[in-house]
Amino acid sequence: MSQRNRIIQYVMGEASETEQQHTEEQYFANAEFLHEIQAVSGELIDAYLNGTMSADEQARFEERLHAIPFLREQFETTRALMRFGQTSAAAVTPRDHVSPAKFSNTRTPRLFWQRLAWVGVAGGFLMGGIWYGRQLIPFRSPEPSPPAVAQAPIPPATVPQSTPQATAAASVPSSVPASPSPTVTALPRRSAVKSSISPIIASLLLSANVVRGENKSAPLLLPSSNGQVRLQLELPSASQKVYQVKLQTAQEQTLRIWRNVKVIPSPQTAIVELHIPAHQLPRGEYFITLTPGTPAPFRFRFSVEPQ
Amino acid sequence: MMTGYVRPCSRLARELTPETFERLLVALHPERHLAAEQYEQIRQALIVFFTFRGALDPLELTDETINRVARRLAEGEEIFAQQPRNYFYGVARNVWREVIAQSVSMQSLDDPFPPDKQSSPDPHALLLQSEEQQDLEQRLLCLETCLQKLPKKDRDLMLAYYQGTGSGKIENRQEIAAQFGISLKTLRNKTSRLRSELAICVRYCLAAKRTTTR
Repeated sequence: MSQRNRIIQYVMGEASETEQQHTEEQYFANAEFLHEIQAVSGELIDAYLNGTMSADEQARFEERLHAIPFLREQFETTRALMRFGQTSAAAVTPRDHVSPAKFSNTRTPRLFWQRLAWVGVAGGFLMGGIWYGRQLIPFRSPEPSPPAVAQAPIPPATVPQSTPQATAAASVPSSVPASPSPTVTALPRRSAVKSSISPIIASLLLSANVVRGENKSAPLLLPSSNGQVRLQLELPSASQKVYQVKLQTAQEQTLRIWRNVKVIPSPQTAIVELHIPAHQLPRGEYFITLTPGTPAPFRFRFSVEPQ
Repeated sequence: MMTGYVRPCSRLARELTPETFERLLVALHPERHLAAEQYEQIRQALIVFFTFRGALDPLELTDETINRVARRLAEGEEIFAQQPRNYFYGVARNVWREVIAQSVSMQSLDDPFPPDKQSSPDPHALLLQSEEQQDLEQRLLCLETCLQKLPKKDRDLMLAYYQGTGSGKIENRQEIAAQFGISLKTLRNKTSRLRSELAICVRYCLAAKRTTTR
C-alpha cells in the first residue's frame, strides 16, 4: 500500500489499531511524515468542498467529520475561507512577494531621472505662468460690470423615475453582496480587508426538464473575461424551501454540490439561484440536479460555448 | 506564525513556569533554536494524535501531555531515553487512555449534514438553519480577525489559495506556488499548517464570543 493510501486510511479512521499505532509512531519520529498527514487531511477537506469526491467517498468523509470534532472545525474554517476568498478583493499581487533581488538595479536610477525631468517641466510652466501674470498686471483696466440680466427661471431638476430594481438595489445594505449566492449569508462588514465581488458576466434561466442548447435554442455564450455566471433554476412549484443542488458534466462527473440552497419564492413559480465562476464552465454540456424533487429530482440541462 | 505560542488561559500556561519550560527545551536539544523546533513539531504531532483519536479538545490534551513531561523533568527525572518524541507519544497514549476511562462524553457539534433537513423543513429544522447561519456569520467574523493576525505573506497566501473556485486543485496550486516563489511541497505544508492554526484561532474567537453574549 502506498504511503498516501496508508495516510488516507489513517485520516479516515479505517486503519486497524496496529496500523494506527504504527502511523502514530512514525509521525512522532519523522516531521516530514507529520507534514504529509496534515497536508493529506487538508486535501481531503478541499476535495470534499470542491465536490470532487465520489458519492461513496463523500459519505465516508461525512461520517469521519461526525466522529472527529477538531477535523470538523478545520472543515468549517476551510469552508469559511473559501467563501471569504471568493468574495474578498484579495488582489494579491504576486509582485508584492517577489524578492527585491529580482528587480534590476538600473530601473531605480532611470525612474529617478524621469521624475526629476517631470518636476523640471512642471516648474518651468509654473515660472512661466508667474512671469506672464506679472507682465499683464500694469495693463489691466477695470472691466465694466455686466448689466443686470434677468435670470431665467431654473427648471426643476429632472429626477429620474426610480425603477423597482434601482429601489431594491438602493435598499440593499452595503454588507450584502449585489448578487448573493444562495449558499452565502450576508457577509459582515469588512474593516481592513477590501471586498469586491466578481461581476456577473452571463445569466441563464433554466426550466426543469427542458433541454436548452441544442438545435432549437442558443447555448450559453460565455465571454472570456473573469466573472460569474448566474443560473436561475425555475421550479414548477415551491413545495420545498431548500434543495441540494449538484452540478455535473455530461459524463456525470460531479463538479460541485451545494447544500441547503434556499428557494426564492415568486408569485407563479419558485427560483433557485446559483453563482458559478465562469472559468469553472468550459465548453460542454452540463446537468444540474435538485433533490429532493416530487416525484423525481428536478433536472436541468444546458451547454456552454465560449463567446 | 505562533510557534510555541502558549495561550494565556491554557492549562499549560497555568502550570508551566519559565524555569520548567526552559528545562524542557534543554532536554530536547542543547541548542535553543533546534529545541524550539523540536518542541513545535512535538506539539503538532500531539495535536494530530488527539485529533484523529477523536478528542473533543485536542489542544487541552496536548497541553496536559506537555505539562506532565515538563513536571517530571522538573522533579529531576531523566526521562528521555533516546528519542524524546517517543516519550511524548507514550505519555500521550496514557493521557488518552485516562480520557477514555473517564468516559468523557464527546458531544458532537451542530450537525452540518442533517439527514432529513431537506425533506421536512419543520420549525425545528428552520431553527437549526438559523443557528447554523448565525454560526457561519460569527465564524466569518472570527476568520477575518484571525487572518489579520497572520503575517501579510501568509494571509495573502491563504487568500490566494482559496480565492475563486477550484481552490486547492492541482493546477491552481502550481500557479500559486509559482506566484509566491515556493515549491509545491512547501505550499502544501504551509497551507495545511496555516489552516490548522486558523482553525485553532477561530475556535478561541468563537468561544470568546459565546462567553460574552451570555
